[in-house]
Formats: sequence, structure tokens, C-alpha cells
Amino acid sequence: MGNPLVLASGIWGTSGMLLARAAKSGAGAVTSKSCSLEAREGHKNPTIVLHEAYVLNAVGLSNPGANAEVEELKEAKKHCSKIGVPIIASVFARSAEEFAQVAQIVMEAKPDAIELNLSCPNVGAEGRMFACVGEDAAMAVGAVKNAVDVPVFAKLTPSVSDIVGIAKAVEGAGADGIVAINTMPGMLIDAKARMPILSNKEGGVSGAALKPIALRAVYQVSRAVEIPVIGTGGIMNGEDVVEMLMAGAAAVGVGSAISYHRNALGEIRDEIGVFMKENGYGKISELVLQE
Amino acid sequence: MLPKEHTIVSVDEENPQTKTIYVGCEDMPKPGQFYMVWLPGVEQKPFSVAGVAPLRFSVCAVGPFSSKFASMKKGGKVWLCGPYGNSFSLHGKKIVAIGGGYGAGPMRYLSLLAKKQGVEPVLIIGARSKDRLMKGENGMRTVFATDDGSQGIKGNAVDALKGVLKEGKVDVVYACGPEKMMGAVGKLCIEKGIKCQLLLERYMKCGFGMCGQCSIGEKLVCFDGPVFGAEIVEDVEFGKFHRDCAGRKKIL
Repeated sequence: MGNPLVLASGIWGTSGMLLARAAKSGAGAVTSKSCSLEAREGHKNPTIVLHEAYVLNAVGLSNPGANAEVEELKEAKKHCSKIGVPIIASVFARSAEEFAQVAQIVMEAKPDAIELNLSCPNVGAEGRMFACVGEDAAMAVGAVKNAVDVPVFAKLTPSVSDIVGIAKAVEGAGADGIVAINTMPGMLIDAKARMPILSNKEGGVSGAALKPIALRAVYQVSRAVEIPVIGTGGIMNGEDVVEMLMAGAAAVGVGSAISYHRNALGEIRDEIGVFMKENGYGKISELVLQE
Repeated sequence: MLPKEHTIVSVDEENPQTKTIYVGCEDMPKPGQFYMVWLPGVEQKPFSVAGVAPLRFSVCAVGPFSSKFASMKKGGKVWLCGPYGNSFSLHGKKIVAIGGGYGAGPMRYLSLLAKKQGVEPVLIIGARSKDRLMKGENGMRTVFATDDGSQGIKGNAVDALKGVLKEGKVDVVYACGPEKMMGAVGKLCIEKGIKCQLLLERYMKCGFGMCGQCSIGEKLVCFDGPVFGAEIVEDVEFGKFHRDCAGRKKIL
């Protein structure tokens, strides 16, 4: 990676050409939007609400299905490989076996890594989220590790009592990295409409409001596991990236920031350089907390 | 921004399918910009501004959402997020503004603004037939074109444009309508070396550059547009497909 920024899953990942744009505009790596075995239309609008301090979304995992996603990933790969930007293909499924099946399908596009979006219901375990129970998450990771020969990252939810336990479980199952964190469950109500704003009523909070929750999760997880952590959640500027690296992240996801600044990836990348220069840092690896 | 409640102050019938809905909102968005319109319990969709003071939208009943929106009456409530997107830039001495179908709404707004700024506009309003045409604008030179010849010239909006271009120099051509029509307008303008701006429409989930659903090549209609220069017609994806709510490519 040319820089520590990773385009987070769900932003722009609908199209191979847009992933290429993210790569050209400053991402060190890009993640596609999570895909499943079959196409999903997702929830009705409103699906995404933008506020100065946060974004709330319940898109509903809409995607064109793994086979159509292969075409988008191939398009992205064509452009990204020219400039040395790796592609992470994000997948989700209803069972560990299906996770492996979807991962195998997207491998046709030769992604550089697979991200497992574990914030989806496991039909084999009464619909609880994979990322909520260590053994469920580990089953999905284990199944995909057996099916593919590229690094496998597990994306974790902050909405659990012990994220460290889940992180250790996926590491034990062979995960090559952890993406922490996914959005935090949340809801907005319009008083005059007397209705939740999202058609799905509840959704996930991202954006600036998520930063303290993400920093704490990454701080704890990175101290408990040996595998690298992609710290994601509330990254809006270069100093946020520095803080996330200091918390223990090996790379840093950027998502919602793109809604506020047209060229967020490029700006944030440049801000990291400015911060390091102004504060006397020579290398990214020097960005650690004082013990 | 979060959606904000506004009240419908009047409704004007353009034709049996299309209404112009006037909303009591003091925003002064520019022509080309759009709002995400939320009807609680129904859905939320993007709509181009068709005029200001009061803010208005031209709504053609084509699906469940637009049918509901078009059927609303004075006193009804709508929730708006916006304005979003870029806008037309007005320049030159004489312009042509072409609206195909319900695309005539934003073009009437642009023509009125042009006139106020001392630019001479010719408004072209096209549709399949008379019962699908939107109204013209008082005191504005308007050329109507219908495919079946039931009103105005027999032919499409591009035929009407060719006619106007024969009369003399036009500095900029603006268009909003079906993508096939805009493709033909864009190509003609490139061929003739006339500046051209096109207002595009795509399915959107957010309206502010996050979901990626409204992409054309590397461009996002909400974020980089919805107004683009004529060169957009040369993009590999223009006029070919759009992405539906699942992100599947659908032929235009």
C-alpha cells in the first residue's frame, strides 16, 4: 500500500469505475460494497441520512449478487492494479458454507483480499449476527480460509459486550486481519412526521460520532491480537488517521468523510503528511502512543 | 442535512400525468439543483427544481412514489433534503433550453432566469404527444415538438433544435429529458461546436455522494453533476445503462 488509507466497504463500491476513482484520488487500498450469493434490492428510501456529526444508514445490503459483482471487481482490478492499489472484496452470507461459496465466486476477479462482513444474520443460529458470537464468526472465517488463497479479513461490529473476545476467536480461526469497526446501531425520528426517518426504522451510525467508539475498539483489539487491524469509524481528517494509527491500527478505513468533502481521500492523505512533517515524524511506524 | 417539513401551497396541472407542485419553502436553489423529497411512509426520491419563490417541482406520475407525489393537494406536507448538486451556468447572448417530457420543468426555470439576466432564451418543449406536453412560459418564445405532430412541429426536440439553429447563432444549448434525447443533443452540439450543458437523472439512495448508485463511469450524478458538459455523452456508460436499487445494470 502506498498510504495507510483504505476505502471502507459500502461507499462507492457499487461500481468498478468508482473504486478506480477512489484509488486514483488517494486510497492506498479499496474495499468493494458487500455482495451476497443472490441480488438484493435493500430497503426503500430513506436509506441514508446525513448530519454534520454523523451519518445514519440502513441501505439493507443491496447488491447485484456475486456473479454481477465479479464484473465490477474485474473492472476495478484493471484500473487499480496499474497504480498498485490492492482491492479488498467484501462478502456476506447467511451461513459459513455460503460465505465460502460467495468468496469463491468473487475470487474469479482476483481480489487481493477478502473482507467478511459479519454484521449479517446467521440463519443457522436463529438469525443472530455472525459478529456477535465468537464461534459463529470463527466458523465463517474458517470456511472462507479453506476456500480461498488470499488474506481474509473479518469486519467486526462494536455492538457487542466483548469485542476483544470476538477478535481473538477470528484470529484463532485463521483470519489474516481485522476490520474494526462496522457502524453502531442507531435510530432517528422526525417529530413532525411522527415516524422514524429510515424506512427500516433503525440503521447504523457512522461518521464523526463513531470515532471515540472506534478508537477504543481498535485500541483494545490491537493489543489483544497479533494480526493487523484496519481501524475504521469516524475518520474525517488526517489527524483522525494519526490517532487511529496511534490506537494500534495498521491501516485506516475512510467512508462517510467522502460525503462531506469532494476529494476527501486525497485531502486526508495529504493531511497525514503535513501532520508528520510539522510534528517531526519520519515514518508511519513512528505514530505510536507514548507508553 | 436532515429532512425538513414543508407545506404544499398550490398545485398546477401541466397535463393528465404531470403536476407542478409549489412548496412553501424559501430556499433559492439554482436551476439544475435537486432535492431528495421524502413522503413519510411512502419513499424518498430526487427531484429537480422547476422554479423558486415558491420552490416547485414538476412531477410526472410514472411509478408508485411519483404517482403519490403528483396526487398531493394544497396543504399536503413534504419533507425536503437539499438543495444538492451543481447547477447550470448561464452565459452567452442567446441560448436554447430544451425540455423533453417532465424535463421541461427545470428548463422553464432556467429560461426565466436567463431572461432576467438579459440573455435571450428559446424554450423547446418536446413530448410524445399533446397530452404529455408540459406548458410553455408566458412571454417566452416557446417551440413545441411532438412525435405524432398533435401539437407544434411534428418531430422530436432535436428536430426542433435544428430548426432554431438554422435561424442564427446560438451560444449555449441546455437540455433535460430522456437520455437518448440528451445524447442526440450533445452529439449535435459537439459536431457544430456549440457549448452544451445536460441535466442528468439517475436512481439515488443518498443524493450526496455516498451510495454510488448514480454513477456514470467514474462520475456521480449527485456529486459531480447533475449538470454535465456535452462531453459526458462520450462516456462509455452514457445512454447505455443505469443502476437499479440493487446496483444491477439496467439498459436505458
